[in-house]
Amino acid sequence: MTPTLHEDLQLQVRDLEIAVVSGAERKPVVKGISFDIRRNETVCLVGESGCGKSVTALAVMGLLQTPPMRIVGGEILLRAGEEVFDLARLDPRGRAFRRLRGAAVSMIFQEPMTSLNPVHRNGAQIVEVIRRHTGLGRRAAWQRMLEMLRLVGIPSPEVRARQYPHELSGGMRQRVMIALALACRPGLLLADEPTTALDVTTQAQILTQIRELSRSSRTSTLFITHDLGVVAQIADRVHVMYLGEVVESGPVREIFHRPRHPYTRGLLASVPSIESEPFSRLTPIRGTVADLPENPAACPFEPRCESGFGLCRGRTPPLFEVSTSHRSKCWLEQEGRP
Amino acid sequence: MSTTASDPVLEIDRLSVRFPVKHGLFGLGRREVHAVEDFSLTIRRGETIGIVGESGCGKSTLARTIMGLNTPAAGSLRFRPQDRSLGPEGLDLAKASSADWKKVRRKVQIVFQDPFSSLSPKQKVGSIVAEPLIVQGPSFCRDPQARAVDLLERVGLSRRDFDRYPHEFSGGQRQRIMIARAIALDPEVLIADEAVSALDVSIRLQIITLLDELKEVLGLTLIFISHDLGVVRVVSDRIAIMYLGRLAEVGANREVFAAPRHPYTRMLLASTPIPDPDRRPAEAPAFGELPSPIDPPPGCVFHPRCGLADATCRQIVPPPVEVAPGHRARCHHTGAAV
Repeated sequence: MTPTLHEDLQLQVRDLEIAVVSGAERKPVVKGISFDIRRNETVCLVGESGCGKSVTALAVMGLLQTPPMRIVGGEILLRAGEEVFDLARLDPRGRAFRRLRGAAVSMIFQEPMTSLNPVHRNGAQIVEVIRRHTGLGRRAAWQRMLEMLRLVGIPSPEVRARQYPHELSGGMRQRVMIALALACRPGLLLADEPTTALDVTTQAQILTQIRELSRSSRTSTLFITHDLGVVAQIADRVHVMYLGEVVESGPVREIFHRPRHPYTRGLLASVPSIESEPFSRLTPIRGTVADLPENPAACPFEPRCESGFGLCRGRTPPLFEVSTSHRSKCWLEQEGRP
Repeated sequence: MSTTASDPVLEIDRLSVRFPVKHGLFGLGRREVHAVEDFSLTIRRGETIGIVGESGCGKSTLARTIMGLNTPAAGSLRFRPQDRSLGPEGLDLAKASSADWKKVRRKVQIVFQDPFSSLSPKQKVGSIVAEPLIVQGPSFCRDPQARAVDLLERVGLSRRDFDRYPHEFSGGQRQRIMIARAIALDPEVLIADEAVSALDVSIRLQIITLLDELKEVLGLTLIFISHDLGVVRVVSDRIAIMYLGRLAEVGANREVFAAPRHPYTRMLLASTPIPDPDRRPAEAPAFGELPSPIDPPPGCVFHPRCGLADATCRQIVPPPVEVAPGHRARCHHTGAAV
């Protein structure tokens, strides 16, 4: 049976479960998350290290390290032209996936130096991707590559194309990565902390660039970051992750102006910003992600939660609907609670 | 704040630090990186001074030079300039002999960015914290073990952690161990060199709060080095902005943020993302790229990226201009309207 996808959607992830499997033991890393990305939309996965956000993106890209990690449940439906693929069931090493990777879905990473090949010239790396997926000739692919470099704001692209990655600054390298990722006009771009290693002035330029390019080339973006300032700058919708689960999702304004989940509120209250008052006692979230509840069935955030009550220690809450577009995985949303 | 300009703990005067680099054929050519150049700053007893700048601006070189880990090419670093027992103008760390260093080394301590590489994996936590006490000998501390337990408790760890190894701790906890060790010898000055940059958002604020509390309780002078303006905003009394090894601007926290007088400070502020989705920058900022510190531009080093640059800026290095009491900026156009 061919999978189907609503026509507005570029990607739909349903009940995705990823686990580290060793022998008979299964340690869940992503615990049944669901989200979708509409066409031309930028969706942010935000959370702290170990929450499963990068693993989710790697699973979409078919780059999960298997073994030990494995998709153990759920679907990843991706639109590629007229077709829809369930990436969770596609062999990541197979021909079908190879044809999608780089063409229908591509990815940029935190560290551009480790994602570019140091022994190939910048231009050649982009030309290779273009030729592989489009069948353009050498000359046409070279032209397309130059056009991409120009588009991402690289001055004198003819010169830069003939240089090697180590001859570029970090910001320039990340631009080359973006040009590479967008060269075949993918429907979906996965961006995993693409500005975290960059300086703020470079970050500001790269963020605006990603926003404008995905708008003009009609690309949907899944943007992964731990930085709430960046989320506010780039997201249309946001999913907040905690320990492998989505605990709150909604439109970016809802998340920042009317956060519901105690974890989201805690995060927002603990971010020092240039507009914070000096010495304002921002409130840290207590404890660490390693603080797990005694009862494995309890809400995983309960040990760190400021608003927990009896119910939280007994059962993990479902995703409650706050409004049609806003959801929170917290017992506080339940009507008639004590 | 009870600090006064008349009680300086460290007077940095026209400090320059240069490193030789090889270049050209077989690395036969010799040139110099001007990591810190003509840098002057007086640090007052009991204050928290934030030092901000992008990668390569020389902020970590400055920290290492204060620690005696680099030898300056020019200038002086006068420790306790009013303490005649150390010398006519305190002790100049730039010229201090190893005998001099023995007297003051324990007075200046540092916490580095990466708590994973700065702790020995084979040493138990108790021994890591007790080690500096043992080195100082029984005249300094009679019972290093007991004192180490006190220190662990002071930074929010417990007696039980004494016999554990660093790998059993999270990043935030390791940073607490580093802080315990750094304050073990009752330092006067504590340098935090990007000490919270590698930590998750929810942990970052816990460590900032801890440093701030320790500063108050122990009467420390805190030199807080970071690339993150938000973090510096929250903790600092005064802020110094560095660019390409030079001091760009220094002043009281509120003043630098409310009325920045150096164009580079304004650029940094404009590119720092604000966690509010209603305030996205309208268009791509054109900030240019950081020049090489081997070949810094003539005149004002910021002129190639500056909107206000004119012929004077291209030729003459701007002197520090006192724009308000205690607020200096090295710019020819400090009076320019924004």
